[in-house]
Amino acid sequence: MVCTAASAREYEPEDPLVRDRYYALTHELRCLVCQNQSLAESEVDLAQELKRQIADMLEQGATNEGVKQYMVDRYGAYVLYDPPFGPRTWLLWLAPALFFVFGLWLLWSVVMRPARTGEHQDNET
Amino acid sequence: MQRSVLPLIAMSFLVLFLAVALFRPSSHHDSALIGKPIPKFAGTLLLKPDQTFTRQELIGHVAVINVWATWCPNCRREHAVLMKYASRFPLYGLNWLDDEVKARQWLQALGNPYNVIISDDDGTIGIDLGVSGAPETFVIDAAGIVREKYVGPLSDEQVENELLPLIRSLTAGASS
Amino acid sequence: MIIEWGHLFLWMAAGLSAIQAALVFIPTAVLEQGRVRSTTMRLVAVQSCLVLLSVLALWYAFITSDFTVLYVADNSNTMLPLIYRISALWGAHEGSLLLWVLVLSLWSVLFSFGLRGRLPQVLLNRCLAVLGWVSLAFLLFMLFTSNPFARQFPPPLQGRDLNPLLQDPGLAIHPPLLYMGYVGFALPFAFAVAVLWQGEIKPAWVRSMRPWVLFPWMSLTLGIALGSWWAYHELGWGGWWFWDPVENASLMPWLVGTGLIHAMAVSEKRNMGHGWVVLLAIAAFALSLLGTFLVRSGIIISVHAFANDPDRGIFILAFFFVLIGGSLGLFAWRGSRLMTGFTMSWFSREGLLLVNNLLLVVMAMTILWGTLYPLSLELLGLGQVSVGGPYFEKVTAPWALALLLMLMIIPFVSWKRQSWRSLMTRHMALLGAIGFIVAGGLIWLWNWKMWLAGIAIALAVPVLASALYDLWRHRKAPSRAIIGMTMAHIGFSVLIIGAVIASGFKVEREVSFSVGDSQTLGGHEFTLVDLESIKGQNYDGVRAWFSMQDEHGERMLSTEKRFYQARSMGMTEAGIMMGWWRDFYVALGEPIDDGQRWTVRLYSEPLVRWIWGGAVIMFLGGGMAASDRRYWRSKQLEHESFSNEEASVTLAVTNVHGAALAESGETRG
Repeated sequence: MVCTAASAREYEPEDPLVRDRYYALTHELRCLVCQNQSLAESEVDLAQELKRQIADMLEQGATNEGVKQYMVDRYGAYVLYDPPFGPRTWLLWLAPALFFVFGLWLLWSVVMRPARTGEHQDNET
Repeated sequence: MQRSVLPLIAMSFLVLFLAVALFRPSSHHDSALIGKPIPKFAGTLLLKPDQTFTRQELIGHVAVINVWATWCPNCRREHAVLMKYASRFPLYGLNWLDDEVKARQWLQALGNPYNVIISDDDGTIGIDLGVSGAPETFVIDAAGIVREKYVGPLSDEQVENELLPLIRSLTAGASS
Repeated sequence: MIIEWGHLFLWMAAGLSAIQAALVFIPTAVLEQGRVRSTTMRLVAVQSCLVLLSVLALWYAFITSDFTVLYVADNSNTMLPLIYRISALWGAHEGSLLLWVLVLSLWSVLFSFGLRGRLPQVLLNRCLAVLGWVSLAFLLFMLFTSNPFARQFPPPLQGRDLNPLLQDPGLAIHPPLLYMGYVGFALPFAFAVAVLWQGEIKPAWVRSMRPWVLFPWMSLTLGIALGSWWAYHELGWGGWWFWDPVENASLMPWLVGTGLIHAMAVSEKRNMGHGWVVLLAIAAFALSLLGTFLVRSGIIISVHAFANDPDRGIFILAFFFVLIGGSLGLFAWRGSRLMTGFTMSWFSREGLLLVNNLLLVVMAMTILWGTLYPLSLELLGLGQVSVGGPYFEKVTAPWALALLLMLMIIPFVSWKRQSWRSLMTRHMALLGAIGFIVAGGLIWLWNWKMWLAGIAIALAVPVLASALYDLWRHRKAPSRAIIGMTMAHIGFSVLIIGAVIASGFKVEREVSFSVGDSQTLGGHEFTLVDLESIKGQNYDGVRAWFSMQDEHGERMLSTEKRFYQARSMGMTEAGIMMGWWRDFYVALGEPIDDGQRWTVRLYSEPLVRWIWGGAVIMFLGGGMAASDRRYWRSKQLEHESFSNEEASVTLAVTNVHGAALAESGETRG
């Protein structure tokens, strides 16, 4: 799919605080037309329309969660680049800590072996 | 010796996983709408701009909504298939993110398989339906629930083997 | 005819690498003969000549725009500037494989000459044999599935043109650099397998190998940095890292490679942890290969992905399994022969270095996990989930911070063992105090919103301070290895500070302009002054001139929107006002209606240059360290494991017997 736009629209929210949230959100949402780009990075018609809608929603007082839910209702969880912590993703979020703990254990059992610390040897060749 | 086999085992699992993943059917994003009622919308008709069309008109019978645009090459391919089968079921068109003039010219040149075409030049209706590209085709049952979504151009085989049977079963279910 | 020769040379090279690989089956007694050693080296040298000639043949096809060659027609065009016709060689899948093979053969030649006399000849032959396997795998892959010399008759009148995204000076260097890194990790891999095969490992050998791990690491560092720099300049939205699967594929071997360098220090200095060195060396190369697989198999969608071809994917996966499975199998079978069985204490330099290794490896595994997770969910039928930047940032941040903490502590911890109290010298207290002050000030300024950035800065600044102090401490006996190491650590801190500030404090605006409109950003006023039509060698488009005004004066900035006819692709050329403390970035967006009004993206990116600056410093540090003569001593001195300078450093740091000994230790060196 060639990602080009026909004509652009203006949609940045006025209020600076809202604007910051707008930009943060558009970086967290996926552009579904282009492979692996966020809405912020995409210039495709669909992305522009979505950005305009998001800007409108934020200006009318929607919360970040509300905007994300709006997108998920229509496009599914796939549209969120920041996967929410849920039953499908707890392994995703917890894995790093689990890796670390496992690694520490491995390190301890293979290399450190506290029971033999007394035998700590000098071994310059 | 025991622990040193772990890396080999882990790597083997990884390779197995990747091999299986290589040959998986191409990624199919299920619509978020399946099983839910079609959202409220209102749009003007492409060929009769003074008339509006709402979701109410879809209730009561099985409907197929086809999303298309003139800038979409696959829609052109799909068009012939639609022309062939359109008489067999209620086919509605959604002209998505398109130029209305070009769309009308296209229909004049290639023929019009649709009962009714809703114009959606700014894409808002498409967004509510979760449309991310063209062509896409939705199947809606008599109660207005979205039952299936096809992404990409429909082929003759797909229509014969999937779409028509689905419509038949939904129609039968509705009338019983 | 030249094309056919090019093709033939590749077949011949494959034959030679098969012979090289067959060395695996030759008994040790034969391998020990000097004749075999020199034959092997000649094999390697001839092979690289053949591959080089093959590359020259393909270049010839590009330069003369020979469109009978399918690859040239797909990636070049008579209107393409010459320099890009040359760099188009590695612009797509087939040519990049040829580059892989070229880099591998050149590295093999350098390796064989560089380690002659510095490793036992049997071991060197074994290393070359393993490299033969790798070379064979790639040559066969190329010849059977991805032939760059495939022809088409009749040739098209005009080529398709190189992807406009790749028509940039950065392209000319980015892939070759990156490949020098990826491919270069085959060298420590070969060493690891050779050592397993031999059943023994000596610290002197590890010492000789060190430059040959540093060189690929340096290349990869610079290659990744260049890729980030290029993305920033070319893609038009001021981003420098997207956690794109292909970017992740380059970061993972880098992390493991960094771990390898540190593990080798332990192995070399303390004669322990060898099994870990071997495992890391295998893992680093495995991740390089995995990266190759991810890019070319179509398994993961990415803006970078080369080829979407499951058949190619299976081929790569198959030889990945053979190479890595074989080496890990060897590890399972004979790895225990390398283990010395000595224990370490946690709080010693070697212990903490291993913990540091753990952090790096966990970070790499985290990235791999996140990259493959959506795929696994999909396979299990559990739906679709996207894992992108926000996830990776959150999940790698703790490890990066922990690494900084380690950097602050480890240089002051002695080998063998350190007591807590002796570590709490006034130096550490001072560093801690600096850290607290910096953190406190930053948090106060930011109102806790940027606490993560605050912690990162609070750690990075003391690391910088301690690195500089470390340099000063060694002023009497400076060794390149220590200076290099310190430079690399400084580079890392600079990079982290840059990354944290650039992400946290980036300001982004998207506003529409007609000529005469203005917008303020970061204390500067941007005014659109002119819109002009432009035409280049293979594109046409629009250029917008902006004037940037602040209290110091006015500067001009231009940005362009180009359309490349041959590929029907649009591209943005951003206008960047570079600065050591802040970049201003202007990128033309899309025309509104008739083209008299355009949307424009404006960015203020503080400290973004520090990211690449830090990487360059790391690169230079690596080079400095690699040039230390201690790594280039020939075999006769392999019994000596501590040089004088190392002894003095160790003693100076060990505070067990008090300051007096430290004093005399320093003067003794």
